[in-house]
Amino acid sequence: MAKLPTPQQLIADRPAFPDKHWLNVKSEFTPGSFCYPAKKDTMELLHMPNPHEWDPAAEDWGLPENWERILCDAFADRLEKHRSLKLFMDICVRCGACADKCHFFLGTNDPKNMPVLRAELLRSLYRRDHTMLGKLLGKTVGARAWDKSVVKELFYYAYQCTECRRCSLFCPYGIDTAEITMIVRELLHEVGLGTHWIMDPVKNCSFTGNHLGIKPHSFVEIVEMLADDCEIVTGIRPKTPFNQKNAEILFITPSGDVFADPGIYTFMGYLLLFHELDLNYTLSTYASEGGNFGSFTSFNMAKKLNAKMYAEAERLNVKWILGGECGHMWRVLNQYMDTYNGPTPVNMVKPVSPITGTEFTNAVSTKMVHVAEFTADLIYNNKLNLDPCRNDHIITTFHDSCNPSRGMGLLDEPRYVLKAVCNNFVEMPENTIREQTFCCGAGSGLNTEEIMELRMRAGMPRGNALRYVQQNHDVNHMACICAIDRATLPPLANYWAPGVTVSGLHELVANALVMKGEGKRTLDLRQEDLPNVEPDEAADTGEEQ
Amino acid sequence: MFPSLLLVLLIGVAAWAGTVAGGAVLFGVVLPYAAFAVFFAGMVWRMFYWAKSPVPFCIPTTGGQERSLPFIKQNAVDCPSSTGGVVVRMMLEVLLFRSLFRNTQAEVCSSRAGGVRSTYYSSKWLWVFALVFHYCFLLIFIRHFRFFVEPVPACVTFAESLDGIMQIGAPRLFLTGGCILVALCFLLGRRLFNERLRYISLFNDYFPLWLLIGIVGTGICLRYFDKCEIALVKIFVMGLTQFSPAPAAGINTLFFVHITLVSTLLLYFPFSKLTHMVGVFFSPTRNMPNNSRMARHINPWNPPKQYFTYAEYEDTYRDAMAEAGLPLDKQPDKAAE
Amino acid sequence: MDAKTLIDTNKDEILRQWIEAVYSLYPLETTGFVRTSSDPFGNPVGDMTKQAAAAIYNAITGEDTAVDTVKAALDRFVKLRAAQRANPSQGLGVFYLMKPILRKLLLPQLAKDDLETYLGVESRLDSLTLLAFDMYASARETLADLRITEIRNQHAQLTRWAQKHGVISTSQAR
Repeated sequence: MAKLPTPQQLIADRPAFPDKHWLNVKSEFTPGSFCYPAKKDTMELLHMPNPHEWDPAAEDWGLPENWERILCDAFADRLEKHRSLKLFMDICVRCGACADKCHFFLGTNDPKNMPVLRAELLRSLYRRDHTMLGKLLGKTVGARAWDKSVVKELFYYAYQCTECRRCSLFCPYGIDTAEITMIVRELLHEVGLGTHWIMDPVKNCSFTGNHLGIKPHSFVEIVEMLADDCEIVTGIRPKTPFNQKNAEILFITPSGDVFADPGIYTFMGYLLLFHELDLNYTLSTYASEGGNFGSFTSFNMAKKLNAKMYAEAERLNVKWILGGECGHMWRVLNQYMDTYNGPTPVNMVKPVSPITGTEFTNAVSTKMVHVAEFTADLIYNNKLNLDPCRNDHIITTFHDSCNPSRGMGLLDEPRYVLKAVCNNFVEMPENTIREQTFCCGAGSGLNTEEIMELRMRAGMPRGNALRYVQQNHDVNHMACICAIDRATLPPLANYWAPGVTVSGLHELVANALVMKGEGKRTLDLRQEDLPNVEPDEAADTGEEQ
Repeated sequence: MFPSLLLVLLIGVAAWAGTVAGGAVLFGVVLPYAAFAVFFAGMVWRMFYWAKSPVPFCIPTTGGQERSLPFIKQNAVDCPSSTGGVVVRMMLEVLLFRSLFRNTQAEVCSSRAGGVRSTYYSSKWLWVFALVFHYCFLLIFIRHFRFFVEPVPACVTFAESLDGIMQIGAPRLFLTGGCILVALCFLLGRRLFNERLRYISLFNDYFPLWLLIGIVGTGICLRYFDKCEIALVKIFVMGLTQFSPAPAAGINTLFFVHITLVSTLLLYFPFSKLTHMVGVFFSPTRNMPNNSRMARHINPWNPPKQYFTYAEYEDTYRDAMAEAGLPLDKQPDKAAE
Repeated sequence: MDAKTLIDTNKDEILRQWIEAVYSLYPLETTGFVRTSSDPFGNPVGDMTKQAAAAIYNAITGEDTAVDTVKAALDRFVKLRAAQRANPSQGLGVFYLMKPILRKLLLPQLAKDDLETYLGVESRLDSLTLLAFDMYASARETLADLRITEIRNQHAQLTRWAQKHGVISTSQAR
C-alpha cells in the first residue's frame, strides 16, 4: 500500500546537491513562467524574419531548418557591431558582485537569474566559437554548443530580465546585462521568436501611432473625453490641440496614459497644466506613442518607431519636443534617439521654456525636454500657483523608474516637483531608490497578465521596500514617472502593500494646481473627494459617482 | 577547482624536473622570451579586436543626478557630462574600485525611541581584498624592476623601503608578499565556500588564482627559505633583457619554477578574463559622458530610416480624420484625384 | 525546568533549525546568500523568513496569539509562498517543518511531566497553519483579481469611450 507522503517529502523539491552543472540544467516551461508567443501574421506584417506559429510549452518550437546557422551568424554580426558585447563577453571575472543585485534573482531564487549567469548563458556560446581556449578545451572552460534547449533557455531568461541595469551599476567593469538581454532578444527574433505582448503593440504603434491600434479619430475622441473629465473637476475644459502646424512645442507621451487607469489621470494633469500656461503646443495622432516597444525587440525596430517623432516635428514645423513621463521612452530618447534618427530637422531649435525663458542646455542636440525638467523649472521660477494642502491626505513616496535613473540620471527634478505639490514626502530605504532603485518587476515588455506571479516575485524587492515605509511612515501613495510603472505598480502595491495608491507625478501637480478661473475644487482628478477641502453649499458634481 | 590546481602543480613539477634534467635554458630563456612575445602580441591583438567593433550608442550607466537645470546639483562624478568628469569617474573606478564599493547593505534595528531605524553600511570585504590584491601586485611588480634595470631606479628603492617599513628580519620582510597571499586566499576561499560563487565559478576562475598563489609562493620561498644568490639572478635576468643570456649555473631550481609560472601567466593572460585589466578602459557604460542629448553620438552602421510615414498614414485614415476635423495635408477630394 | 523556561531557552535553536529547513527548500546555490545577508531590502526572502519564524514560535508557544498581530507578522511570508512557484501543499507545508524540530527539542523533556503543554503547542501550530491557509487562499485570490483588474484598467478609457458610443453596453463594461 502506498504511504502518504510526509510534509517534508511533499515540499522538498530539490535534490540535496545539484547533480548537474548549470550548463546541463534545462529550463521548464510551465504555465505562468513564460509570455505568450507573438502571432505569425503580426510578425509577417512587420517583416520580421522567420515568422511562424509556436508554443513555448511545446517540445518543438518550429525553428527554421538552418536555425543554428542563422543564430551563429547573427551573433557574429552583433559582435562586429557592438564593442560592448565583445567586451562584456571577454572581461567578466565572475566576482559575484552583481548576483544579489537583480530583483529577479531576489524574488525567484533561480541561480540563472543572477546577472552573471544570465550573461554566462550567452558567454558559453561565445567561448566555443570566438575564443581560443573555448575551441581547444570546450566544456572544461565553460564553452558549449548551440542546441535547441539552449535556445529555449535563452528565451526563458531573456524574458526574465527587465533591462533595468541595476547590476551594471555594481559591476566593477560596468558590464550591462541590459545590453546582453537586448542582443539575445534580437538573436531570438532572427529565428522568429517574439512575445505577443511586445510585438502586438509594436505593430499597432507602427501603423496607427498608439499601442492599442486605435484609429486617429477615435483617439482624438478619447482624449476629448479626458478633457471633459477635467472640466467636471475644475470647471475648466482644457484645449486638446491635435496635429496643429507651426505650434511651438510638440508633446509626446506614452499612449498608455490615454487608455489605462491610472495613467489617464496623469494625462489629464498634462492637459490642465498646459492649458493653465496657455502653452502653444500640439499633440499628434501620428506620433502619439512615446513609449518605444521596439526597444524590447531590436535596435532597428526601436529606430523605426522612434523615427516618427522627428518626422512629425518636421512636418508640423515645431520648435522642440516635450516628452511625457515614461521610462523606456526616455532611455531611447536620451541615449538612442539622436543617434538613430538625428540630426534634428532644421526647423527645430534649442529648447527654451516659453514661460520662464530658461534654456534647456542639456538638450541642445536632441531638442527634447522631459516634462519633469519643464515643470521643475516652472516651479523654481514661481510660475505656478500651487496649493499643496490639497494633497495633504497623501503621504507619498517616490519610485525611481529604472531607465530615467540609470540611463539618464533624472533623479532630483521629479523630487523637486513632488515636494512642491505634496507636503508629506518620505523616501524609501536608501538602497532601493535613486540610482539603486529596484525595478517594478515588469519592465521591458513583461507586464503581461499571464506571468502575474512571476511579476509579483520579481517586484517583491520593490514591494518590500514600499511596505516598509507604509508600516513605519504611514505612506499611502507612491508617485512615479513611467507609464509602465503606472500599469504594474498598482497590482504590485495591492499584493505587497495593500492600501498604497499609485499615480504619475503630474496627476499630483494638477491636483495642487490653482488655475485661473477654476471652480472650487472638491474632487481630485479621479473624482474622489478631497478630504482637506470642506464641501461647500453647492455640491456641483453630484451626478458623478 | 582540482583540475586547475593539478594543472598548476603539473607545470611547476615539469619546470622543476626539466631544470634538474638540464633544461634550464628552455625554462629560463626560451620560455620567457616566448611568453613575453605572446603576451605583448596577444594584448595588442585583443585591444585591436575590441577596438575593431564600434560603439554604436552612447550608453553610460548613470549613477547620479544628470546635468540639467541650474538649481539642480549635478553629480559630476557618477553622472559625468564632460570628458573631465569621465576621467575622474574612470580614475575612481580603476584606482579605487568605486563600483564594488557601492555594495551597500541595510540593517533595520529597533531604536530606543521605539520606532524603527535603518542603518546602511557597505559590504566591503570583496572590495577590500580586491584592492589589497591589486595594489600588492602592483608594488611587487615595481619591486621586481630591481632585477631588470641597472642602476636601480629611485622609485624602486622607495617602493622597497615602503614595503619593508616594518623592518623585521633579514632579508627584510616585505609586507606585500604576505598581504597578497592573504588576499588571494580570500578570493579563492569565497569561490570555494560561498555556494553562490561556487556555482558560477569555472576552471577559468580557479586557474589564475592557483597560478598566482604558485608564483607568490615560489617567490616568497626564494627570498626567505630556499634563498637564491641575488647577484647571480640579476646577472641572469639582465642577460635576458639585453638579449645575451648568461649561464644559469648556480641558480636555484626553484627560481626556474618561479619563472615558468610567471611565463604561464603571461601566456594565459591575453586569452582570459585577466584582460579586464585593459578591458575596463574600453567599457562603454563607464567611459562615456552622459551627454547624448547635448551632442549627437554617431553610429557608423546606422541603417537607413524606414518607417510608416505620415503620408502613408494619412492615406490610410484620411476620411476618418477629415470627419473628425483633424487638419490634413491633403483633403479627401484632392487625394482622390 | 518548567515548560516556560524550556520554551524560552530552546527558542533560538528551534528558530534556527526551522529557518534552515525553509532555506533548504531553495535551490542549493542560492541558500548561501539568503542565509548570510541580513539586509532586509537586499535580501527580503531571508528577512521575511526570519520574521515569520519568530511569529510562528511566539504564536504556538502561546506568547502572542492575537490573531491580528500573528496575521500581520506572517503576511509577507505567506504572500511570498503564494507567489512562488509551488503547489499549495508545498507553499504551506513549511509550517509543518516545525513539528519534527519541536519533537526533537521540546517533546523529550516535556513528555514526562507536562505533555499537556506540548500538545497545546502542536495544536496551536495546526491552528496557525489553518490561519495561514486562509491567508494563502486570499493571496491567490488577490493574484487572480489583479489579472482581471489589470486587463480592465489597461483599456479603462477605451471602455468608457465604447460605452459612450453604444458599442458596448454599460453592463458589459463592469
